Amino acid sequence: MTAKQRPYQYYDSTISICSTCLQRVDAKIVFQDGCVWMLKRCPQHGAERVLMADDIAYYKLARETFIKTPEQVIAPNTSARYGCPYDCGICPDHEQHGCTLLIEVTDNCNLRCPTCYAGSGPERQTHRSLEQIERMLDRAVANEGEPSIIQISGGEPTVHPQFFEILELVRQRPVGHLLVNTNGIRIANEAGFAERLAEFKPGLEIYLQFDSFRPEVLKALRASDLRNTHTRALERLNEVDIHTTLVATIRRGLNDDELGEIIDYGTQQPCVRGVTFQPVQAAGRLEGYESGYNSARDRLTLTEIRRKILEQSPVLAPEDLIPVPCHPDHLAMAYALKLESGLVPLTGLVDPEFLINSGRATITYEKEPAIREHFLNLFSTHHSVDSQTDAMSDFLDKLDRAPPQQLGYENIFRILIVEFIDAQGFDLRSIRKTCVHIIHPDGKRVIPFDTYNLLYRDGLEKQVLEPLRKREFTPLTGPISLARYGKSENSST
Amino acid sequence: MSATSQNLASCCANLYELPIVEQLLGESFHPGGARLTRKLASASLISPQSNVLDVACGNGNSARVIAADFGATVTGCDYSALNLARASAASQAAGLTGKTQFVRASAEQLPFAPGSFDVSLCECSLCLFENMDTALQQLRSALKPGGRTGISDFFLNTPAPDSLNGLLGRVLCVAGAPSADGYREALSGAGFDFIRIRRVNWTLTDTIQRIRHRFKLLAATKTITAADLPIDFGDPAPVLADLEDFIASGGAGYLIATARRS
Repeated sequence: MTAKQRPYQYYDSTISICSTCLQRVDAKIVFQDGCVWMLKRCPQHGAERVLMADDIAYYKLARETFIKTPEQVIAPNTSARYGCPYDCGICPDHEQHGCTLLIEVTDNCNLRCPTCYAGSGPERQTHRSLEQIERMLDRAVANEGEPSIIQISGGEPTVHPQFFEILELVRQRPVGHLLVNTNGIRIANEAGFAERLAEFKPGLEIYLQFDSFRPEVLKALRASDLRNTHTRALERLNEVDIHTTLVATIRRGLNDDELGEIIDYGTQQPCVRGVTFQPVQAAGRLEGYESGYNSARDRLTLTEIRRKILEQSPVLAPEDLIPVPCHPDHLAMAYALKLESGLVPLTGLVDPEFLINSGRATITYEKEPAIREHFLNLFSTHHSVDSQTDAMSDFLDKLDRAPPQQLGYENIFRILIVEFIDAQGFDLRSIRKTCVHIIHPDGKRVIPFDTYNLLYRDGLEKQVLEPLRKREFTPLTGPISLARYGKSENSST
Repeated sequence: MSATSQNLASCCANLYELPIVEQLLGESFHPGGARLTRKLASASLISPQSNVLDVACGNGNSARVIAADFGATVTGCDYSALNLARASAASQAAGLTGKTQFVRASAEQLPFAPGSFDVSLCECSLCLFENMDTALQQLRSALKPGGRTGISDFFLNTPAPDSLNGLLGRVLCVAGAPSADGYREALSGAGFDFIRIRRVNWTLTDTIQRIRHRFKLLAATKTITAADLPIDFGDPAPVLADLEDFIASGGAGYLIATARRS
């Protein structure tokens, strides 16, 4: 008689949260039908089966190969008391410092998007004061020493009445790069605005919302046909030459067929240095879905977006779009050279070992001197014929055919996929590695983007988090960090 | 199909039906085994939604790997009725009958409606076919527009030494293989673009080592003697050593190629 078999391969166990009540629940990770699933059950709200990835090989690559020693904040801001994710942050059990720190300077926005994790809109009038913003910036510096990237966000940060003063405050601190996350409306419409922004060069980058070329898609995501805004904002940014990343929020079945076109468009804009794709995070305002947001129907995972990029931009090979080691299962990236003849991928030419083992943990690798030098060396001429793989030969062939311009750092183009973690796919193993963090308006805490939108934003902390904390009746005695583990080992001998 | 290619196809198919072939090469007949099949499937963008054609599927091992690990639906076709029967039985045993089907067909004359598949694969078989260009055209026309093809096979950059042109060399697909550039040109000529060639010579070193070990084991246990072989394989040791040297010198190797139907 043959033994009974599970309908899946068991891979691992983890801790998740119930997507209804956000209580911690036991979970399994299993492989079935070519996909990675999370199985979990809440005593009150029942069982859930959540798609984590539709590419087992890539998922395993991210989890098992792209691992690096995590970097920590200078000092944690909270203690480990209720358990993850109720102790943010940064708590001593978090396994990554903040690569990108967001400061939301206003709740106000000149759009009211049906999809908005922050729930911003014209009806919300609260702007943070400069004093408060200074406290938040000082928190960033206290945690990171020299923060790699500060992203000014909102709401729509450019509507803050003291927007440029805020940029000055950032500049007065030891911050590597200043990013402004904007829908581009003020840049497009206001004479002189782009020029004033340009005064903050170098080290300033615009994160420009850019979801689609189709009016019906823009109406669904942004309640506004922003095509002219996009065109005019990019004209202005090209004129003043401010480095720009196009940021596309991707909703399943709506604009997931435009990824290749957005990349192509980005490569044709002189100021554009990369494209970031973010599937909609199930958090905040999620309007305009037929009979409401339905995670089984509407959720979109990183591996699906990755494959769609590879299908729609065939110039990229699978080995060109790889996990980012600091948070490998939720960040993927590709580097390419932007030439007049098109994109020439670079990532596949670099030994993954090199990417894993060098540079600080940051999602913008090319800003790290060692990696930057390595990329530049790739297109220097000292490679011997013997050391060339076929990929390298192809690469050099393409360079031969497009020699007129001087190649340099300016030619590097980045494609990034950022899948923020929602309650459905919450995986404790992964949430501890998140590196995009939001500075809490209290200026005391730094909270992962993902958990901030689920438990800490605005009223959530009081309405949702507090009751959950009360349920955790036995306070933990401390973190499960290495330092404590070592101490208990010593004390037992 | 010409009489010669008919003979060749059936000759090769017969050869692959022999138990000795499976004993020597293992479940996956091609170099790299299931590991390379997974690599080829990833490189060809196979997903749970993909409808995949595996041309010259042999015992269906790759079809099962792709159905089980990638969740794809796979149609395998082969010239050998015996291999197909084994493939079906193994799929049934693995509970994959809903995800796999097997069809008797020649690679040079596929019985599928044009544009039926998202991905077409041909592992370690292309250079066995009399007319590679015809086979590539078949692999292309089976695809939907924008579909991908994935090939693994030997390449031969300099002519093979005489010792490798014997039967064993033929079984190992070495003798008639094109060069790496030859594959590129053939794919381009058949109407593919975004052609990518990846060298995977490690698969050959592994396979040669495995065959050598198995020969020793079979001889030592007297599981099989020369008299059991319907075809004279001869002493494999010198051929394998020649093959290793030839690969090390860069004369031949193994590759996977992927391309898009343009």
